[in-house]
Amino acid sequence: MQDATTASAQDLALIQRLRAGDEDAFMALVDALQPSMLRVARMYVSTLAVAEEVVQDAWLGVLKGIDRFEGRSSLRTWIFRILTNIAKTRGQREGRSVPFASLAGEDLDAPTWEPASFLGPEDEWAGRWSSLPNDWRGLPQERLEAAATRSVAAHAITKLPPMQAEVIRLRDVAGWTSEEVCNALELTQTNQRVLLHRARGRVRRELDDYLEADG
Amino acid sequence: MSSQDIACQQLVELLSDHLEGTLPADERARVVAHLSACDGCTAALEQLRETVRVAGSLEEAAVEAPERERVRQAFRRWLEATRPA
Repeated sequence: MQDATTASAQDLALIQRLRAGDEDAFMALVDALQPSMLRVARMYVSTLAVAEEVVQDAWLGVLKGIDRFEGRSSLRTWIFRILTNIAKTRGQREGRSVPFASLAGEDLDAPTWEPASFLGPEDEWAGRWSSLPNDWRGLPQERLEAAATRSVAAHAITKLPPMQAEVIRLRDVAGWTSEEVCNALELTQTNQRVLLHRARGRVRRELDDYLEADG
Repeated sequence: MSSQDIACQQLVELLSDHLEGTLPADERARVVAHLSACDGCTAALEQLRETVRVAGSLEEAAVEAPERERVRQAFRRWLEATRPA
């Protein structure tokens, strides 16, 4: 696990290669980070074209700063800080201000499980399951690993509010730590947890609908 | 249901935090106790675990070729300007 507060040994090795002008190392970093950089930039600015310019400028900033980078944060935390600063400045210049709710989604306290799955308040056993959830452990492993199942999950993520989508992508798809995601997306730990909970809940629900219908 | 117990409907909303390991110790203990006696919530936890696994098997989008090329050219210009051969 990588600590967001300092650069890992792997980061430091990569920084050395970048400083030495290693193009392959740089392009591998671009491939790993640019898709999420573009989506994050797009949250702050008005169009995809502007977001692409922001990302280009961020990479220039990374190259310009790499000799001075002291490794006091992880490399990707540092890169996202550069990106976010540029994106914000650009968004302000565009006179654009995006309310947090439109990025994070409305109703963050709403249940992620269907209320109909539980007995209502009039019941003696209120809040218990009215019908048990599908037991996915009974499914063949191939079904859960099938390309079609993965594509249901991928599609569910694209339909999430942008900040929820980015949190689940960085945490569960890309395997970042919660600290790194908080830093990159400028979220509190609490918000990060809530957004992850909602995103996972939504993807779970779509997977469940798919697996049940297709069972 | 004892007063210590959490209703299933509330418990399922704690499962993501439970997987994260971020619940306070007393709440975590109540979740674990509930799970040990509740097939429904155990199945719900398994759904969530599997969802995280499926998400972990997804691949990140590829960088568009023209954008990728633009960054590469920027890298080469930077290299020439700061580290002349």
